[in-house]
Amino acid sequence: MAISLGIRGRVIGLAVVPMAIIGVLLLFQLITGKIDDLDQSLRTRSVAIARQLAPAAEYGVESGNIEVLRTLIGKAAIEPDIRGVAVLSGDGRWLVQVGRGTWADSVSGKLPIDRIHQIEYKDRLVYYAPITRTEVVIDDFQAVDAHTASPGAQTRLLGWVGLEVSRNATLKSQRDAIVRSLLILLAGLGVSLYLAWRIGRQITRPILALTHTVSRIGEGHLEERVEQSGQAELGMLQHGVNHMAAHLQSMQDQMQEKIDQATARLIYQASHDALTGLINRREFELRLERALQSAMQQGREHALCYMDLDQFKVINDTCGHAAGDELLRQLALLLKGNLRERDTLARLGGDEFALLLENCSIADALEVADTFRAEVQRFRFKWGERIFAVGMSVGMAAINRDSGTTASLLSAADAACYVAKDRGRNQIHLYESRDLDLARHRGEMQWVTRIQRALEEQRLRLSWQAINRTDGVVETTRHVELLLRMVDDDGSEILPMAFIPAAERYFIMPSLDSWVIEETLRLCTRYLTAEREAHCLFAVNLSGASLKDPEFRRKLLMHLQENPVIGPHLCFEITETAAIGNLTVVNDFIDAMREFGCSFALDDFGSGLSSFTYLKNLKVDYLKIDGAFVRDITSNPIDRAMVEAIHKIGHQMGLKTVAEYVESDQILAVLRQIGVDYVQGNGIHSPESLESLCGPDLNQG
Amino acid sequence: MTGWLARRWTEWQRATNWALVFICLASVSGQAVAARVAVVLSEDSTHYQEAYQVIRAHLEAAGHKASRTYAEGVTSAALNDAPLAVAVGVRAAESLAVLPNRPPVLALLVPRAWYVKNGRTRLTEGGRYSASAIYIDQPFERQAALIRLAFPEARRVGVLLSAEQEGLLGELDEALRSQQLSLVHARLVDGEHLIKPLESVLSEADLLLALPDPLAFNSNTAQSLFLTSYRYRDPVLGYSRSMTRAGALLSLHSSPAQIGRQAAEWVNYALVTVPVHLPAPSYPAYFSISINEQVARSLGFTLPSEAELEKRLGGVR
Repeated sequence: MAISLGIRGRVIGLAVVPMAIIGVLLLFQLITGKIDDLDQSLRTRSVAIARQLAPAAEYGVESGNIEVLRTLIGKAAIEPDIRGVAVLSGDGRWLVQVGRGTWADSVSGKLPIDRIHQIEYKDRLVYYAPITRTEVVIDDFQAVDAHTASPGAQTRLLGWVGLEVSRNATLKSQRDAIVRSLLILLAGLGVSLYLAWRIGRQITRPILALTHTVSRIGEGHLEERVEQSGQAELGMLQHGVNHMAAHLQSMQDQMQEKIDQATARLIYQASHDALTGLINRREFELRLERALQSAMQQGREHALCYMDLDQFKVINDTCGHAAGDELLRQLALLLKGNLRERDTLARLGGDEFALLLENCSIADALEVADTFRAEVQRFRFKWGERIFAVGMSVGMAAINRDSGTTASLLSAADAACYVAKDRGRNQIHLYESRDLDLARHRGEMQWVTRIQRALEEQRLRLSWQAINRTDGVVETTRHVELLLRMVDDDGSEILPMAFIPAAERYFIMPSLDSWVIEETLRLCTRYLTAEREAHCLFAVNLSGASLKDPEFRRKLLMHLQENPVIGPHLCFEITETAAIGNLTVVNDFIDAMREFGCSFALDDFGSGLSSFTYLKNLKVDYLKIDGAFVRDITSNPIDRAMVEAIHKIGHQMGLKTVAEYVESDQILAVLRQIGVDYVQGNGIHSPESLESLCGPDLNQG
Repeated sequence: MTGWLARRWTEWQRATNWALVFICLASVSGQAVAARVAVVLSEDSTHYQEAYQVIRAHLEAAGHKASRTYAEGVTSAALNDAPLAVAVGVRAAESLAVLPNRPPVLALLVPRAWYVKNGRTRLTEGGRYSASAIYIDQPFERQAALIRLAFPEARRVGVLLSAEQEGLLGELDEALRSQQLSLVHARLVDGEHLIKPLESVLSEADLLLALPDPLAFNSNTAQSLFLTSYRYRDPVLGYSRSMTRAGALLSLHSSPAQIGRQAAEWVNYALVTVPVHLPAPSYPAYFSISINEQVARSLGFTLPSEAELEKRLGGVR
């Protein structure tokens, strides 16, 4: 049976149980001893009384003097415990009796005459002491007597003294002894119980305190300590717990410090740009919000600058990201050096920076911004052997009571920056709500949503425009360019030039290109299914963003692998700008596509950088001369010379040349004269819907 | 036993040879010069030796010699032709009484009752031999005189006697009467309680005179007798020093030394006579009185001192 006892219970048990056992044993021993002593003492006393009484009674018996005997035994009978005394004569007669007593006559005959006889009963003891004659020497010479008549015949026994002793007193004192001893035992047990309880409490109290403290520490209250009260083992335990708690606390403090440091670092990282150490967009928006609040509530004036680096993209593309990063770092340092203490400079991402000038009028702000711009302009970035000059376009917005939200402020500054860029870069433009350029920018922003809606609502269409030979010869292969159209809410068609710039700026081109490719592939399938006799080459435009997008390339490759027969029907038109900075990637792409029989055209040649280096390195089949030269070819001899030059170089490189924007027969005639291979334009063929090319789309719902 | 007898016989023959030589010498030197007296003791006890030592001392002082023999195994030869034999104690006397050709015998420390009744007859054998005695008893006259001296107020003297000794009553009564004392007596019957006759005597008498009667006074009865007498406030006049110690108010007695001295005087006197002549049997001439002062105080008696009493009693024989 397992009883779980507390320490106090065990201490009490330890103190009381042995005490109880010893006490009971002692009690038993004492009582037995005492009773034996009492009984022995009673017997001794009785024997003494009987022994003394017997000779004293001698004379009374001898003389037959009953009165003498009565007096004598009367005195003996008043002794305690004596129940009765009697004197018997030698022949067994009763001479005298005092008190109670049952004297059996028959006994007298068997009584010994030389000693005291004891008869023991449960509650009494009876003694018979023989009364004998006392011999007294009265003759001086025994020899004389020896001869004379001997008195030997005379018996020396005179009688007996009977003594009956009660054992009640012994029994009573036995009971008293038991009761007293039990009381003492109980009192002793009580005292030891109390002492054990006290000792147990002395032990358990510190232990309970320890337990409490340990559980408090366990709950995390590491500052908790035990009161150092004990000396021995308990003291060591208390010391140990305190030591442990102190250790834990210091460990926790250290840990907390590390956590605080890490948290601070995280907070710093969350609010700062890792590259430049400037605060990031999130933090900047918070500060902007505060500044806006102070402007709204206290009427203060602040200024927000949105700064975009010019030529950053070129450095990044030609020298790699490491160069771009280094440029950003150096510029951040430069700009930081020109900051006032209360100004906030942040990197919003890419090459975009923002500057918050608090309590600063627009005039001052413009001055500050111009200082910045000039600093950047003076700055030269050195990378390896090359030295670059950079510029900075700044869009500025005033923060005052009339400002809306932080988002609108940022949007306004961004738009102003766009205008600054648009106006030739490296300048500052202050946002004004009536600004026309801004309005256009706003329009672009609206285009973004409209494109996305059109994608979702499937309001994009492809139309086709024929590309014919200049000499009018009809080839076996039909050349067609697929053109993107957006169907507006009112059903009218929107030309790509309206929305493509917005799509390019806001990175929607890959989505649009994907849609175009998908549609083209379906178209090819339809065309092939329709079993047209003429081989048709469908030309589609690919943006630079799509070309750089590996996911787009992967998908296109996958489609061609699934359906290789389509390959020879596809011609991809890429611009020079799209190829710049990604020449290797673009050439790899071109190589991969050529495997499937695809062909390539360099589009809008002459409008951009018009670098012959690129032309030389790009493995294209067709060179499309930008329409800007073709449009006025009849009247502008420079344009004509340009076209002739481009055509000549193209031919020298083994490329077929295509002239766009052929609007009239005069233009056609000039081109024919020059010898351009293909012509395209409204004067040749106005774009038509696909149905006219390969019949109605049965798959389209 | 045979061996022992043979040895004794050899010793006896050797002694006889020496005796013949001695007799020849003695007959030449004459009897008055020196005599060897044979002293026979009942046994080797202190009292008898005490008497012997006193006798020997006195005889040697007078130029005689004493030889010591014991009652057991005494023979005629052992007496060695002594002119006189002294028997100390009853048994010594009785052992001599059976020897033939015995010299005159003086018996000491013997009760008068025994000598009167048996001793004299057996020792003299009807006059063929000479004999005398010094009794152990005190004369009644002396006792009566002492009573008078010690208890001037006393009138009646109580006595307990067995039937055997009742013959003394006449002499006692006569002695008491001479001192104006009357006798109260009771007779004891063997086997009966002596308390009743004792109480009857004590209730009448002023004092109890203890006589050496074994039936009345013995070691067993003494305590009861004394205690009873105390209850009656009657003093006891005893006959031995032991009795005084046991509770008698006073005792009149003669010691073995005193009797031995008297015997030596008698022997010296007898040796100078031819033939040897012994005085008539007699009570002791020398005596002592002992008093128990404690009993005297208890009973309220004021007595003259022992020495005073002895002195005043000196003339009484």
